[in-house]
Amino acid sequence: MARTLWLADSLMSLFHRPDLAWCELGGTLIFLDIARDRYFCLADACNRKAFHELEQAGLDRVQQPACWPKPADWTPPIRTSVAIGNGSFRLPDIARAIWIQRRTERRLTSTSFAATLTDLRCLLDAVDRRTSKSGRTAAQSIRAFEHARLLRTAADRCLPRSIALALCLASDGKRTNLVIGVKLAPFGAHCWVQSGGEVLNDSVEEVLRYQPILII
Amino acid sequence: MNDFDINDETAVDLGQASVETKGQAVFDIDLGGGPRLYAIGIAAD
Repeated sequence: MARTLWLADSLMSLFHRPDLAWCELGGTLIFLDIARDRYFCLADACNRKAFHELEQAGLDRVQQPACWPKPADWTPPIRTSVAIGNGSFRLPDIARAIWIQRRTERRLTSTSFAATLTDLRCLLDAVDRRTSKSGRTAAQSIRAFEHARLLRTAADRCLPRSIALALCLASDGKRTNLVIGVKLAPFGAHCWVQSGGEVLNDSVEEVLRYQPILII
Repeated sequence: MNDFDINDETAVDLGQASVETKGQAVFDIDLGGGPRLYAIGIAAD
């Protein structure tokens, strides 16, 4: 009994951690601890208890931390951007896409997951307050990232690719959403960029296999 | 309120977010000329 009470009490402390996002997948709660750069789920007994505690506390089964609020204008993905498949081969844009992606990869390894996402969020939030001077269209950047895959594989690189694309589009004056999604059996995590319901760097069929856990 | 202790008894670690967030790459090379989900890339880092 004492152990059960302690667990309930401590589970509530888990749900109030400032950098914890979670979602439910087939009866299992999946957590993303942004500050600690970890995904985890609970052992069976804790998982069952956690659902009870969530209901008691009036918390949702899909929730982002208060300091990482879900953008109000985000909508679930409904289509793949046509810009992925249409457009000319522009080497300067492709070189820029690869360079920003490499820089993002270095940043993820040299600083932290949380710091990288925090910087991205600040830049995205500032987009509305500035105008683009590049003259480049969003479609050109999206197409450049698609062409960049031919030179440098996109396999296992969805996180830095998506952060880099969101950064590029932000510098072109376009505010997008970075989405991190998870799936189970087996566990997997994916990341993509959206503008409204449009997926900008993957197919909508692929991203719909994942449940969004963090949307920036 | 007690802090939740994340250990082997209470939680299952699913990996480092910055590493595990990588999608599911399938190198589907179609000799018939169909689209490939992931091109292997021609440039080395």
